[in-house]
Amino acid sequence: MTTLSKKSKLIYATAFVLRLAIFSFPSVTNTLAQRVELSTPVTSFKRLTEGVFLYSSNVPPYDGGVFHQSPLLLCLFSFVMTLPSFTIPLLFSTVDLLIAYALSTITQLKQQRDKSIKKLQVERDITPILPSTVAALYLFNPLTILSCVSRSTLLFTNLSIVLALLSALKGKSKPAMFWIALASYLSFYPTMLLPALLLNVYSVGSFAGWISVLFGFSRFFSGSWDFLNSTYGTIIFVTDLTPNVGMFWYFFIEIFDQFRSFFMVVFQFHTFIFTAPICIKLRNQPIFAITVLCGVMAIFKSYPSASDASLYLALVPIHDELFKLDCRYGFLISNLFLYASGLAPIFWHLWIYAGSGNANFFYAITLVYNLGQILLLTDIVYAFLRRQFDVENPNAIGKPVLHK
Amino acid sequence: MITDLKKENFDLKLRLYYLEDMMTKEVYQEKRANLEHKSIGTQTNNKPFESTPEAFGLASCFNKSSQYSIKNHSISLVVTALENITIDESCPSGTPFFFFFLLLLDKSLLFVMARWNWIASLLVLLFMSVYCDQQEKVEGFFSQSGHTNNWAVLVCTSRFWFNYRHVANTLSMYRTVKRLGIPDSNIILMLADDVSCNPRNKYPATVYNNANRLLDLYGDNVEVDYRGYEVTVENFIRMLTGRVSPDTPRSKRLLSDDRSNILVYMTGHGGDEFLKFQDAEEISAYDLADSFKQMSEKKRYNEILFMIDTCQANTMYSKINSTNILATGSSKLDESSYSHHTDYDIGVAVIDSFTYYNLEFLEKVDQTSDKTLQELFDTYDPVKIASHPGIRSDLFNRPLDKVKVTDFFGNVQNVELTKSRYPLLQDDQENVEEEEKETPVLNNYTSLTKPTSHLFDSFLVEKRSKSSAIIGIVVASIIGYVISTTLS
Repeated sequence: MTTLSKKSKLIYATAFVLRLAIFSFPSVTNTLAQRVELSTPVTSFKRLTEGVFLYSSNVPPYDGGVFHQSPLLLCLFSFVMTLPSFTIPLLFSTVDLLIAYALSTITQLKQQRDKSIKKLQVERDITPILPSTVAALYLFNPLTILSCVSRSTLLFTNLSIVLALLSALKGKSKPAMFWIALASYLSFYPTMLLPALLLNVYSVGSFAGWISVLFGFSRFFSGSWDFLNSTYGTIIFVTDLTPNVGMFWYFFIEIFDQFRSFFMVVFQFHTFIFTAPICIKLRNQPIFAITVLCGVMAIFKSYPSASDASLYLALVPIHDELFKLDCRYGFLISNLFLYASGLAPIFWHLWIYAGSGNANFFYAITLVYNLGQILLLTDIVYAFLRRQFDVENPNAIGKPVLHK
Repeated sequence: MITDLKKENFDLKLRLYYLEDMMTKEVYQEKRANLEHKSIGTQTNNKPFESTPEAFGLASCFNKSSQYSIKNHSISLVVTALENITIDESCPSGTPFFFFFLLLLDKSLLFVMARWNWIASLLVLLFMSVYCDQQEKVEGFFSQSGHTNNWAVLVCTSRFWFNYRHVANTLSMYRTVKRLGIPDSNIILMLADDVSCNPRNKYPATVYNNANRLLDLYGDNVEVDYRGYEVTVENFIRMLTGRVSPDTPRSKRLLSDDRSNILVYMTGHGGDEFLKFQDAEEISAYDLADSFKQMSEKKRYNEILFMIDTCQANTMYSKINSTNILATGSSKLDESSYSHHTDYDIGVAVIDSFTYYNLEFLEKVDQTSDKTLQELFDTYDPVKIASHPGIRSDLFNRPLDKVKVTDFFGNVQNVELTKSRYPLLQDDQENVEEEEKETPVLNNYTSLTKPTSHLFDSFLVEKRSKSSAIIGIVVASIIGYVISTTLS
């Protein structure tokens, strides 16, 4: 436990105040909670409120097909919503700060590890990125601020993932398994991060144990096994086709019914299959593996949102040594992100409100956004691998590599 | 405190009182005997029971002035109980949980803000104790006037170019009513002549109500429902009573219900108990009274404001005998109503005096204003108007200083939200954990509620007990602990 420097205290305080300031405009938060880029059927705060209300009125919350979030969130929020109404902004802002703190700790741990690893000649004199800078990049990322203010519950999943990574780096297996179990329980996809974590701390048994505890608690809390179908069923079988920034909805609207299950299997399998090559190749760098897998998750998930992007965009700066040398498409990627962020609301408006566009407009800009993300992923993977190669073979720096 | 139910909730009490009385047979037969001597308009004597006032639990308006004393104690109990109900929601139960949660949060933030910790938590606790404890009171369960929607029937009955001012009167009221929120679907506008496109109109396609011609009433958005020769007495009465032919389009129907407040505004040339339609026929005060009576029996209105601007206008409402009708006219018997001023460019008078002074008041009203009808009527000055306006409020049940102008001229919705459920039955009193004063009268109430309790089953949802909150606290504390151990 390190005391924080003045600079990081200032960063945290500013970010906290900024979020609370935005929360104090209820019209802004309500508009953002409805934005399709920020809230999905499985993370929407409005649906959570609906579920809590149904639960507190003794109506089974999973019957209606509107509430798709896990019973643990139902439990926590049915308590939190009895508190005065400003608890929720405090809660979400605090979770953001916790994520930022965890990220800065991860950066410190990584830099401590990297002290003992071979480096390139040019890197010896460059100071690595400050942990507080990583925290600041997370906290002041517009996507993060928007996703916090829109009260997307994916924030808790992000917290769990980051804490799992932190615990794994520190070598504590039980908390790590607890956090990854919680992350997988809250949204289904962090399961693919498990093999990367297992490379560090090997205890599959405790993961299974925690998962069963969580399931047992959910069964007890919601009274039946309905929640499985509503939460994981929706994520896996993509039953709710609300538009989002992902690839699934458009595709699943237009395919014929007889091919639906085939394509569902293909899409989900495609998402999970990335675990294998990444964990094999990057078995010695768990942080980088998790970064890439978080990126894959954010792109190929069934209901992605800007909150997923904010997580891996926060993990990317940790590997700052990649950016100094080998990133080829930096300008293009930043432009794609800006372009997509600007045009997505416009095309949404044109499609839904003005009626002069159609779904293709919005889906096209979604594809541009995902293209940007994919380019970012491939670029950092290339940079990483190139740097690995350059470290091993210093005489190859700057020269293209030919394979016989 | 739910206040003034005695004064405001006339409807419920009336129904309750007369429901009780309907149960006694001799009273019922006595009223049946009364009915056979009357012929109401075009109705025959053999009307089916469903259309009699008794079917709705109301006595006929033509009954003798017999006082119906409350025979059943339970009715009076209900009435007194409804007056004494409070709903308040305080949050003291939530407060200790929140303090605990905050302490928990402090624990996990302990390492982050080491020195600031206690100061920050103290400040937050202070802030919270000020902020907490909000009693939420329901101010009147039923809206003050009991209406949920507004209609306006605006009739100009005069034809010919020199009656330009009557069309201008009606269009001015149309504009006011639209500005205050009534949509076109709820406005029936009847104009007997089209003065804007009259060849003698120097400013074609316009209608002005003021010589300065600053405001074109016939501007962008005017929907005339009955025009020209369609404005007849028969169409008017059919529209009011709802007895229209099946092919009448929706815009020509008055689709009001028993929660509608209707503004009926008529202008034209009139006389002693008549109003001239189209220079060819007349509607008499009796016809009007009968139409309102039919509307009352068919429950087509909650309250009506009848406003008429013609010569000898007050005679026109003298024969109305249905309840909940407020009437105002521009001049009394043997008195003419005068126009306000003439536009010398157009060549005719452009507005009538009574309507002009009404508009002068109404132009200062908007949808949020609380101005009452009493204030409107207080501005009537017989000297300025050049005639004696009359107000008939004996049939109207609310005091005029409690009636808002927007109750008739606007479309302001009364929505009251409560955080907790309003207890309707005695069973609710046991389930809901509230600190009401337990009135003993409610114990005798069960006999009246048992037959109808099945109707309210859908509302009988019990709130979950506090155990879920305790589970929430436990889970939150566990997660907070794990966060703090992870981050430390």
